[in-house]
Amino acid sequence: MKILVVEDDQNKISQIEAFLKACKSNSEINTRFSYQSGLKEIVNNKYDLIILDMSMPTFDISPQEPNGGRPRPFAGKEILRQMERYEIKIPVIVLTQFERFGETSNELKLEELAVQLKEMYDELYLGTVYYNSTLDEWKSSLAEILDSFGD
Amino acid sequence: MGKKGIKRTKKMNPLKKMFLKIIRFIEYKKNANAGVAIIKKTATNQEMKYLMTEMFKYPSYRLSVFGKPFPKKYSDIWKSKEIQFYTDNVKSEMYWHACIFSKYVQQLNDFFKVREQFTHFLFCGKVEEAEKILNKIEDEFGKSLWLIENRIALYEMVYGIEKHKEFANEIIRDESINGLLRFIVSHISVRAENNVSVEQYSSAILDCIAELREKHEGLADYLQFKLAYFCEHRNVDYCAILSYEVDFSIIDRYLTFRKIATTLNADNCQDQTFDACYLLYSSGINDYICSNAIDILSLKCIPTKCQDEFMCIVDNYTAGKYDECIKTAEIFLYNPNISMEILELYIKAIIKSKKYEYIEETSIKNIILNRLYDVFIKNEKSNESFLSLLKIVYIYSDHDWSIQLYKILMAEYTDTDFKEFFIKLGYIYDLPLNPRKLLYTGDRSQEFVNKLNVKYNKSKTLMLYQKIIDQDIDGLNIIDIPNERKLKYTAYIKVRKREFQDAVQLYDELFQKNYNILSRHDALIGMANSYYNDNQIVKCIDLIVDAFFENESLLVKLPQKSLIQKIDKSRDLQRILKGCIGFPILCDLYLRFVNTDKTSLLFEAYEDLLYFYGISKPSDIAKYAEKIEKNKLIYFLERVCVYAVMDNSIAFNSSEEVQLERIQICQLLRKLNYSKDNFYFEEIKELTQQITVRRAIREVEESKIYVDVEGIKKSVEKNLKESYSRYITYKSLSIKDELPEYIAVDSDNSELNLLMPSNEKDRIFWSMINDLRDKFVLSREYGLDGYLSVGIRHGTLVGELRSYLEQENLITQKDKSGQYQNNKFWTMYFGDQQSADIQKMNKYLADFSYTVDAAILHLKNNIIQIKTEKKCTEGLFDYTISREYYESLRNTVKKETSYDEFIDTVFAYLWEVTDLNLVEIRRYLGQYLKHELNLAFEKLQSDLDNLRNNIDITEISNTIKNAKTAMQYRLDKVANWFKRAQLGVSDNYKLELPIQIGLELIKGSYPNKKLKVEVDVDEAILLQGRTRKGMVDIFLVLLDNIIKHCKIIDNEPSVKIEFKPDGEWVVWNVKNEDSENINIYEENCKLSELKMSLQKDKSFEQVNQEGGTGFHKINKILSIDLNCRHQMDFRFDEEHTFSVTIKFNKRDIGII
Repeated sequence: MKILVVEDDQNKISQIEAFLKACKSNSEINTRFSYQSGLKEIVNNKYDLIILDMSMPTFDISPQEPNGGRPRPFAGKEILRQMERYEIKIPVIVLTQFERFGETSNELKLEELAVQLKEMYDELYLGTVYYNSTLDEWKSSLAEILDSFGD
Repeated sequence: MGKKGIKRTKKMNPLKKMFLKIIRFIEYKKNANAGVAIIKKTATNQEMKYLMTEMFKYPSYRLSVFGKPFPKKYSDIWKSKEIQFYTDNVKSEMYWHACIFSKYVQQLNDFFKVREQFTHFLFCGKVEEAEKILNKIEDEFGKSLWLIENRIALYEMVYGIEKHKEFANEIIRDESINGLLRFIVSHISVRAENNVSVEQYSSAILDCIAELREKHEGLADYLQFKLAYFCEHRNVDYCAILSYEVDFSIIDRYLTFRKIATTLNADNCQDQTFDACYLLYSSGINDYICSNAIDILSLKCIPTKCQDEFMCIVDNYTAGKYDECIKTAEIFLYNPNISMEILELYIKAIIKSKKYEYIEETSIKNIILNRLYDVFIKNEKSNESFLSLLKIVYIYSDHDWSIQLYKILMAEYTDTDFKEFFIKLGYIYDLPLNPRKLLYTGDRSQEFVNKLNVKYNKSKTLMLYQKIIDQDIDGLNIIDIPNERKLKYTAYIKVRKREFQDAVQLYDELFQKNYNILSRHDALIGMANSYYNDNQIVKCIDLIVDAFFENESLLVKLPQKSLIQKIDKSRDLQRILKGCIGFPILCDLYLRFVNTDKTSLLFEAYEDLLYFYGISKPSDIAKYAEKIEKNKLIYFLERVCVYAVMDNSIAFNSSEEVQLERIQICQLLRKLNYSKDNFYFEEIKELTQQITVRRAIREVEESKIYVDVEGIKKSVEKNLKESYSRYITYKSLSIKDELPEYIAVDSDNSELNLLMPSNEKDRIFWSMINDLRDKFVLSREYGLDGYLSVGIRHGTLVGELRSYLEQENLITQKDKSGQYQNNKFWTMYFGDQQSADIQKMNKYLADFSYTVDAAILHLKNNIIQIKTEKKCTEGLFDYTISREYYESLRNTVKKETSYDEFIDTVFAYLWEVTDLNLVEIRRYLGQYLKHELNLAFEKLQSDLDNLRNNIDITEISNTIKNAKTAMQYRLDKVANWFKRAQLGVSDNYKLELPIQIGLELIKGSYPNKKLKVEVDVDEAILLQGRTRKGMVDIFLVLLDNIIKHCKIIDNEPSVKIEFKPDGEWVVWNVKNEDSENINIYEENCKLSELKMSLQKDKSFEQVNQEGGTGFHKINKILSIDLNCRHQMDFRFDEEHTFSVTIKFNKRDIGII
């Protein structure tokens, strides 16, 4: 199984990778760190599953790009929109550590966002998992979705 | 029974019985309002009316239940501390209030009369008379919010802000007056200020209400209704609103009641208000708005004066008799209470007869007429005029005419979601028999025409509307009205019949015939709507975009909003639009003028157009420029192909690539649109500057690990060459090398190890290596430690790591006792400072601050330090030389090895060691410190999780998680500093460059600190590239000093930077204002000492020390790095300005 993790938090990436290696030992895991690099990878390569963060910078943060360009509170949702536009049909799990997104004018709670994603991208979207680095609950939630999705 | 002597009990009236029950309940509860609550909850309308009348008879209840109807003092308003009990039954609350008002019908009718006089004087500019009327109203009806509002507005208009504020402040500062009333007055006063725009006011009041809403929903609703009625239309709790005014003047209460009734009616909830309004209507209230609120068709309308004249004006307009229309309307222009539509028809008739002349703005009426003219013809002043009319509406928000004016503005100039609501509301405030409201009467339009026909059966307007209702085109064409109207309404009937193609043809004819500007606008709008309804999307887009290019103000009347929403929902439509350049333009117009919620659609439209031409970057569109309409291509390139759109595209890999593309686009635009050449040139200049600064910052960050090897070579050459020569001589001799280094001798029963003088050859070699190593790492002029101190330890490191967390309000500073201060931001955020949970939160944050500070200080003071045999530290810059390495080095140097080869070998070795050290430091930062800080974040989060049940920690948790991720990258960034500098040859530059770099870097280091910088640099001065790093370092130290030492806390300190030639010198002067509280004499004494110390410090002993002012570092940079003759002076002047002046020798600094 070929899995792409699009995530900007290095610590979270390590934990996700460790978890995936443990429960999907045969899988090949690639990581991308921003909206741009994530979308590019999705457009150009085939994957069986995508684990997608919601809030990310536009570009990979590097010495050349110290701030990562524009921060995008809904980067994951924008990637889903582009996948639907390009008719890329790879299942997506959203894994986020935030409970609220956006500014006052477009603020959304995680539950509201999950409902929106389900409504808008039902074909691709498998579900949302709330990540908390200090607890293991996210692992069982993720495992549950992975199990229901199958290999 | 009576006859038989049996006493008969008279059966008590059930209403009376009910009243007595209420009275008993009131006596028991000792609260009259408790009785009112029961009445509102349980009584029928009839019972309520009776019970209210009975209660009204008792003076003891009257005050507590009904308040003072005409308060004599402002302190009498809102006197009760608690709001009256209210139910959630709007109908019953409205009826209860109507019962109360029915007791004051006479006074209210009197008030309406004098109010009309006031409006009349106000409108015709007779302000003295208007003020007299206000005084009269005050005498007769006491104090009211209405009175305050109008006095403020009048004073602002007549006497200006001072008089208005004097009046408002008397109320605001009077503590005997209810606080909420003072709060409302303060906002009314701001709203009336001439210089406060509607936008500013709305945004401030809505923010304030939103904040309040979380805790006091009812009060927020009340303030929304009173202060932000026009800002947005939302559902509010009308029962709460009514209850807030229980002890207001009866005037205010009635106006609020009436506004609620009309609002409910416009929201199609007339059943909630019917009984209440009908009661007042039947009680003789002389207010046709109340009867309009019963039914928009005004079937029970009170005959109003001027109704016939109004019909005459409308009919003249319909018949195209514009001169007569103008003549009749002029008589009524001063009485806006009749109908604001008279002003509308008057101006439109003037436009149609092309007789407009600017009217001197001596009264509100004239202002409104001039501005309405701009709004109707949609000229270049239309937006400004629209805003100015809106301001009038807001100021006089409790006047009936202002609601009518708002209706006209909504219909003519906006496309908001609540447009229909306010149009309908406006008609409720208009004359009852206004035929123009026919279009808003839905399926009851025939009923309304019939009613009007009873009185006005010869009206041409009614004939016209009848034909429209009947969809009778033939009938319409035989009415004696102008052809343009026939065309317009025939097209309108075609639209209603859904014969859109015919409608388009008719609108096109109307457009081509060009009767007047209003008919042209009607034609365009009608055509666009027909295309939209006929699903001719491409044509609709083209028409809207073309209309926009012809007149920007027309956009609000075109169906761009619904069109965008339709396209956004359909990928099929988007595919059809792939090659349509109008589509991305339309999206951009939507984002600019309607809403920013469709940014993704704009990007997709942009990308689809590029794909259509087979390109991925917009600058490549140049090849197809001939095929695309020029004005649309220019718009597309100028406004759509901007950073925020292009950075969505996977055609670009970095911000810089996007900016470089934008530069190419601007270059293309310079060719396509020469008239804006300067504008594009300025953008290119700005972008180039940004790119240059960013690249230079990168160079600065990548040049922190630096040793001036050439400087060392020069400084040691004389002595070292001699030593090396001696060493080679010794090496050539056949003296045996091995000698014991230590010899053991007995002394007083113990054994001593004494160091033997080593052989001279080894000693010389060892000494040369040690000297070079020490120069390499510790030399204050050239060595690594000096650069580490200036580039990393002096503020930069702490700035990069600590200041960021401070900016995010996650860590605080220590107070004088060494304890971490409470976190003001989050304490304020959660509100209750005393709560145990907030105290716990502060403790957790203080623990976090401690952990972070300890880790950063350890990094700075222990890890990023030099370690040698003599300098035993924990530092990871470990330059201790092992015996083995020494031996291997010694073996490398042969008799034939030249001095230069030897020197290069030693430096190569030292760089090799440096590289290994840098790997260690990066590992420390990237692994150990990252892990340590991650743990600190996780501990903070888990501590705060304990409070989750008591306080909403979502916001602070989000901040922690964002900061945690950001800190990982910040540590990576810091780790990246620990790479060997790859210094290339920098280009020659203007001084503005290091200034920009310095300002950018300092912004990154101290995000919370702001400086107001003014730069005055002689642009002709060009400096040599080699000096750039030194100049950046000097400027950084100066800025760092200002941030750290300037005592101005509340404001941004002003900084003035000058760079001017002066003979053989160039003079750089950096001045910053400082607090008036500093003792200049004492400070200048300290500075004199510092200057003395600088003069003495020839060997730059203090360069490697952190803290202080950094002037020693500047001195070293000037003397060694720039090798420049210079003079430096710094002092405070009498105006509390700190000034640093550095004079550089022109030749030394390489000025070109």
